[in-house]
Amino acid sequence: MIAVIGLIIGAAVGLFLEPTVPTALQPYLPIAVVAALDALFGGLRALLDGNFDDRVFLVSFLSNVVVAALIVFLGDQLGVGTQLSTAVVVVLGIRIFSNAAAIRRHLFKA
Amino acid sequence: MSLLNDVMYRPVDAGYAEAAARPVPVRTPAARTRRATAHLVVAVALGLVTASAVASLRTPEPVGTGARSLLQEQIADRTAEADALQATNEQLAAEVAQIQSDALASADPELFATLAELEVLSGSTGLEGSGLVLELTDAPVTDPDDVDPRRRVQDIDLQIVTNGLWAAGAEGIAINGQRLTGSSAIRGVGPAVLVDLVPLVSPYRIEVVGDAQAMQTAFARTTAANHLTTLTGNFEIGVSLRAGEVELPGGTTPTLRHAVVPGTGVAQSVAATSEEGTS
Repeated sequence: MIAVIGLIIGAAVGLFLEPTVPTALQPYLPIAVVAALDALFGGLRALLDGNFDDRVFLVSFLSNVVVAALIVFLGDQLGVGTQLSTAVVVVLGIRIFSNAAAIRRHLFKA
Repeated sequence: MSLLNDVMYRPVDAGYAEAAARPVPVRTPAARTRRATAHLVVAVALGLVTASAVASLRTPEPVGTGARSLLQEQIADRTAEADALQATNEQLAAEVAQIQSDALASADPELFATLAELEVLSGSTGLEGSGLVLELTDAPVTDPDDVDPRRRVQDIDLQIVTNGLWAAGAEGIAINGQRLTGSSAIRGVGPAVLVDLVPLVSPYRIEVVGDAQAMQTAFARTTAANHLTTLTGNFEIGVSLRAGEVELPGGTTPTLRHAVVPGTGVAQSVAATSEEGTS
């Protein structure tokens, strides 16, 4: 639970301070945010399943963001940046969708 | 297609299930606090990064820049186009003048002489000869934030000076290469002065063709000379006057204008405008 509280505090601070992101990192932001969303939905589902774990949540969040950014970076270097971005977005999108479906089943029993 | 199956049916990280299955290790309170602190720090950092990423992604693109560069491009294009057309125009005008003089000189020498004289008076041909060069320069700017417009050369100054020069017997005048004709206008727009809608900036070089000595004497007696003294004395506007050989370009190609007596029925459409002018 402490991870969720920390995340909320960090987000509030970030929204309040609005730090500028270095321009070199700008291209990886959209994918990183999608990956973070995926981790968030995964965590929420785990919470509803009753097996939420702070450590697993944080590690999956961090690794999701880093790996997504890394894939886009590699793709950019190899000249297939847009295609790889699309692939990552598709996979993460499907995961978010199925997690959202599981959460819906939990909440509404439907 | 185990990958797709994994993605579709087990989207939650397997880590959650594994962590739940693992037996809970017994930790001392100190170790638990350390763990919680580490979790909190990492979570705050991740939240901060994500929130700032979202915030920077939501920052709207400055829409002005694209439109601005487009406009700049268009301005450059159109200016180049206008310059090219101007050059073509001048070339064609020279051709027309050449053909006109060739045809007329042999057919009617008297009419040709009259035409040449009128062309000089109307300023439609270039002039070359002895004359005066009068240069007006804006006063030096001491404080860029507080510029007194009176310290700049203004349209009224140029108007007074050129009127004085005409009165002193000038045969032709050009300001920064813009020939003054009977229909020329000198107007001020911001820091620039428009002569026949062409924006000019300081220094303003007024070139005059005429009898240099006689003009200098006559000009000194006009009110324009007094005006120049005021400009130099009060507003530090630079004025220099010297005699020398000058060459004036031709003015804009004259357009034919008709004037008719109202009611005679000749050139009705033009009569309407001339009536307005005379009434």
